[in-house]
Amino acid sequence: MLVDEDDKLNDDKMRNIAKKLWIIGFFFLPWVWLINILFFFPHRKQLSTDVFWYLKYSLIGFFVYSTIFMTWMGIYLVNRNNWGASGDNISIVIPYGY
Amino acid sequence: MITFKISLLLLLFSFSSFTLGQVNPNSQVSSKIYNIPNYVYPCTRMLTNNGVAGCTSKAGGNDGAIFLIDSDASLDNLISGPSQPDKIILALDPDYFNKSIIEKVNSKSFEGILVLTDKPQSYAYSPDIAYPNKAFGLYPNSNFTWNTLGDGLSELSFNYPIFAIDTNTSIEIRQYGESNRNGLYPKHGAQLISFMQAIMTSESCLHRGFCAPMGGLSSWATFSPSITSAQPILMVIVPMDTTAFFHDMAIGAQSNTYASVVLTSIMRSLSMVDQSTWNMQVVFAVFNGERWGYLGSTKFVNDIVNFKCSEYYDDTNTTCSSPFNSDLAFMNISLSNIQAILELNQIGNPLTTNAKQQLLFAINQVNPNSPQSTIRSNIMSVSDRLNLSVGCQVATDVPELPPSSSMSFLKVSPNIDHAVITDHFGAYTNNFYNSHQDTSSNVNQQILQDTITLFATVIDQMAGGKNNITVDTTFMNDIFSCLTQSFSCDYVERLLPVYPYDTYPSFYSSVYGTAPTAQLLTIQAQFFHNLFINLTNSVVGDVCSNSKSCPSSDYSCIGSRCRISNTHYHEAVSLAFTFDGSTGNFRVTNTTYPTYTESNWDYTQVKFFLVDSKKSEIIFLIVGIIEFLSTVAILIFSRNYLSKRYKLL
Repeated sequence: MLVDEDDKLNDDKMRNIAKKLWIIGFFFLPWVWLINILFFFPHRKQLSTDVFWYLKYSLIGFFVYSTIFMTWMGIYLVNRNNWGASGDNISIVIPYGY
Repeated sequence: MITFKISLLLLLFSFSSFTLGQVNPNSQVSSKIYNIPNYVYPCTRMLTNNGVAGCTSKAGGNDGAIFLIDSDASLDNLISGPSQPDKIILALDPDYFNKSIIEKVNSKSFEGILVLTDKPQSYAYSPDIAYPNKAFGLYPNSNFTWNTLGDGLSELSFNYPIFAIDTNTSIEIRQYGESNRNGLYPKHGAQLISFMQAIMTSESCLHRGFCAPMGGLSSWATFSPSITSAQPILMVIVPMDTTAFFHDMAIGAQSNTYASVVLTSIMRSLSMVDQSTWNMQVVFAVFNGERWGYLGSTKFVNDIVNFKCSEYYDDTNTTCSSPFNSDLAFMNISLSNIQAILELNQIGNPLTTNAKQQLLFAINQVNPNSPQSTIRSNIMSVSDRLNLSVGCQVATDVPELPPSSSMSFLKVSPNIDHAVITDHFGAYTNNFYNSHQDTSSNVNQQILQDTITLFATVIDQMAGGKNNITVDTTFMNDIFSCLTQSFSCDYVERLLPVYPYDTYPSFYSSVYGTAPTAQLLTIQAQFFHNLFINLTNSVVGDVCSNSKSCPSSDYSCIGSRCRISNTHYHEAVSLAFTFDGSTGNFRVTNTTYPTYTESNWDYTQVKFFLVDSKKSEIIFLIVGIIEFLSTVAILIFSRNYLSKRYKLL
């Protein structure tokens, strides 16, 4: 927003950005969906219906993905030792002594 | 301005060195802050497929003020007195180190334990279990108790560090503890670092590569240039390794190191006799890893029965590349050719006497009432014939064979004639079985020479000789002090390529290694092997500096001379493990065999330091901040003043 051009955000540009971020989010990047929301937060008064649609599903996607991911994370952290060899095989780093 | 910058830099430097990184252990600052003793003996973590035993610290170590427990009053003060304001490290007097005390103090909060060694324990105690190696011997369902003193402390798991401390440092710690008890400041604190990497089970930690199987290398030797099937074999064996709650303090004088002294002295005596009339091949063996389920003997027996090499390393057929085995000399020994086994087990301190006032060794056999036993009749005839201070008697009242390496042979071939020699008739009479207190003062050195004469004569007579045995007492005394007092004798210097870092003799087997091709050789195991070469060499050649400078690969360079001897290492590792070449780790493939492993760790250390009271630390901090602020104020003020006064600035 330090660039002059940002002042001239028009509907096309906004939709373009929202759509791109929405698509990128599908590559297991839920935080990009969150960024999508945060980026348009200052412009919340002037969103077109298209942009609003992308933002809505970015937000839903963010929560759904985060919930699934956090749940899995919890299950994994609690049980990784009990799963034995298969637990080790899906781990990238196995900490010493835990 | 320059001074201001320099002072800022200095401030930054002092901040970063104290807060960001750890203090460099070699720096002068570190040596001013910490007192780090050279010799500390950690309790480390062992694993089986059923769980863990031993100790671990937190990742960065556990620290606290030293709290000395040297009397019932100090113990009561901890248990029921006012709660301690600071974190504490317990320092236990030798008499306060046993399972019941540990269980008592476990109800209180503390960071770790130091065990002092400046005094001997005043009562008999064993931290081992009641029936050592029960599951892996001949009687897995036995109800007998061999180690009546054992409270099983070594089998428990602790989530805090425990260290034993050498004698001199123990004396210091006692003073630290008394000073702390009197409420004097600064208090003496300690940090104990022994963070173990492995958790849960052997299976899991082996898969992760965080632990290694227990084991090591056994050694065997014979005077014959080669083993043939033409003559029967007499095996003279000793379980070489021992253990203790603190593994690096496992002298095990009575439990088996005495027997090792006797065995090597017997070899020394027999090397001087006429062996031309011998009609037996005598094989001397010290088995390693016996405390962890008879690893060495089981592996040896299994190999002489089952080992088949599918791919030799070269034409000499002495090394096998698949399955890997660096020395195939054992293949000349067949189990059916072994006619008798003489095992010297726990023989350091016989207490039973007979009418002739001889101290008696027990001859233990699976069936002591069987009419025929050549070895038994030979021992008894020699014992009766020689007029020595020691004698032998058949242990007929003992229900079973005591835990011994012979069991590995008898499991596979029950009819081998055998005699397990012990100093106890029935339950152990060792006051400190598998404790770090089993030192040279726990054995009877007076009878050493007669014991050697007795059993050397038995072996000579069994083999077909009629020699009078003479004992090399210089050798005997040197080896005795070397193996039970200080591992620093002349033989250590001559026979080992490196001088031991710590001369505390410990016969803990340690680990087998991380792979069959990456075996760990303890200097104790190497010492026995080199000593065997020295005692049984048939050819002594030129002076050498290493084995490569000797004429052929048959020679080894031991004690600066090229020597040919029929002496061999043999792997001591549990048959439970199979090495998986694709992952580079061991796997547990057969849980009927022992699954003992030892966790890896980075390093273990104990540091002592001074801790001031909370009050003075806060005052120090506030004064420091005031000093800092006033320096800044003075600098700003003087800069302003000087820049006005002298235009140049």
